[in-house]
Amino acid sequence: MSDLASMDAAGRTAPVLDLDPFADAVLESPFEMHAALRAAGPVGWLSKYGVYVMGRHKDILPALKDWETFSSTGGSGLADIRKPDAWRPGSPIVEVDPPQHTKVRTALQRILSPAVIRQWRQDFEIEAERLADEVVAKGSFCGVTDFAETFVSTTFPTALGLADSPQRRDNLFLLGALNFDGQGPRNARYEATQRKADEIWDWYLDSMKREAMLPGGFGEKIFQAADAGEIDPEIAPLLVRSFLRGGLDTTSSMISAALWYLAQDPAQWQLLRDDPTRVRGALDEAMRLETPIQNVCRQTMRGVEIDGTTVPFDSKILIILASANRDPERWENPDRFDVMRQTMGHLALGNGVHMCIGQMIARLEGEVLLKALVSRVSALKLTGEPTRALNNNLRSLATLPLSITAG
Amino acid sequence: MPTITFVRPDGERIAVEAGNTESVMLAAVGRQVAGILGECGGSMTCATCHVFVAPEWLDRLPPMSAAEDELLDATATERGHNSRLSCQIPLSEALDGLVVELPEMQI
Ligand code: HEM
Ligand code: FES
Repeated sequence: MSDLASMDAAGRTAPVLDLDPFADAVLESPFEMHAALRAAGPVGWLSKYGVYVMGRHKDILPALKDWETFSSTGGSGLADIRKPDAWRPGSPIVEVDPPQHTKVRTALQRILSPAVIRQWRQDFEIEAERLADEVVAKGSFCGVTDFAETFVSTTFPTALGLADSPQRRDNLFLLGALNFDGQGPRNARYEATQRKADEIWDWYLDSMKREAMLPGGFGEKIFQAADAGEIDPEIAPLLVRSFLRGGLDTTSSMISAALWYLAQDPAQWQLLRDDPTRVRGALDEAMRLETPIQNVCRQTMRGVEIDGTTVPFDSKILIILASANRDPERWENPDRFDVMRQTMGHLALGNGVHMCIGQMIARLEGEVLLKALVSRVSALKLTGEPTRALNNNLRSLATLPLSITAG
Repeated sequence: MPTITFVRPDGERIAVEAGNTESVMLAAVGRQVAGILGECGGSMTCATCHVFVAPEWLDRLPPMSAAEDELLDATATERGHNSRLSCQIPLSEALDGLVVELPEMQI
């Protein structure tokens, strides 16, 4: 495979990189690897996995916009899902290109219209206030398990229309972990998650069925869009699946990252106290720094020159969004958390035709939860070192010990 | 470089040099014009870049797509006959002097 990288028609080579984005140490702290990647050039060759890799903002942004060259049909992970050894049906939204993509996206955008999302605001606020009262009463709590995950796993599945049950929360986080582990290599981490998920497979399959969708939720609307002929009936459950698997962990990762940064810098917390409308900016800044979905993949539909290096036709490229989000060529003081920063152009939600369609729900959830805390808490403190949950593609905290001063 | 004037609901006028940005939304966000959020960066998901276009400019803008028309039904401040999503208005010299009003709410 590595001969692919060794030379292109013009004799230019992508540097061979002996890096492993999926090693434990790199997942704990990927920043050194990002810097090495950006220094190596616009595109490199990851010899361990036999794929190309990109890490510079100025090269990644145009690639994400150019779906004709950088196709999503090869699959969102490292494996090329069109090839016999890794074949699986693609996701009808994130793993298709226009014009099919346009049709499905249009229907989904209608279902996730800002007007529909706004109708959930009050419900979300009530839950946010209940939960904020609870942690304020406790005084110290875990920002991940007692707060961000509790909130997201209560509000989001309910908005989707998935009935509550004792196992709902744990099962959904397990499916999220599987989704994102599955976008990496078939390593031990993935195998272990798949084994755990096997035990809840029936629950999973049942959860995307029409019968599982309570009236009034997004899920029901997806099936109604199929009734109306806007999408093919067989893809409706697959769209519900993409919500089940992609909407929880990402949002809670964003929220817990925001709390972590805010707990480290009282001046930033004060900025939110002074003007709570800054909360949405704070969430985007947390998304930029954390980049819950670290990587997306694309497949080249032609030989393409990226900033002077040619990548051959039909190559898989691992696009490291997290690296672009801290690229010093794009961001001043890239590692600094600043709620006042102009964050437009961060790539945590992707870009181009596949840019996250769930972002307004994620923002609403984060906004109401942080605002509920901001209005009750004068000081937020870190009381220990947070720990990370390692996953092949999802970056998130596992624990975040916090204490608060009410006021 | 086209100059664009944003009129706040209280009547305050903010004139910005649009520079080399691609859309009216990006010009506003780049100059920190409060009242244009542009949260989805122009991917037509958020409707937080809603503006009311001054009547004399309405016909001089490129026509709106069906998708823009539909998303305008979901704005936080109810749309008017002269509503547009500013991320869908590409910038050009021809827009020099454009005047748009900002809505009360974008979220
Ligand atoms: C902070 C939270 C979130 C982050 C960081 C995030 C990130 C992303 C990214 C990076 C993509 C682009 C994938 C690509 O280009 O290949 C994407 C697409 C997508 N996201 Fe999100 N997401 C979040 C929340 C959500 C939520 C809450 C939902 C469900 C409502 C959701 C549903 C989707 C869907 C369906 C797509 C595919 C869109 C398309 O292909 O057109 N996401 N997301
Ligand atoms: S910026 Fe989101 S719709 Fe215009």
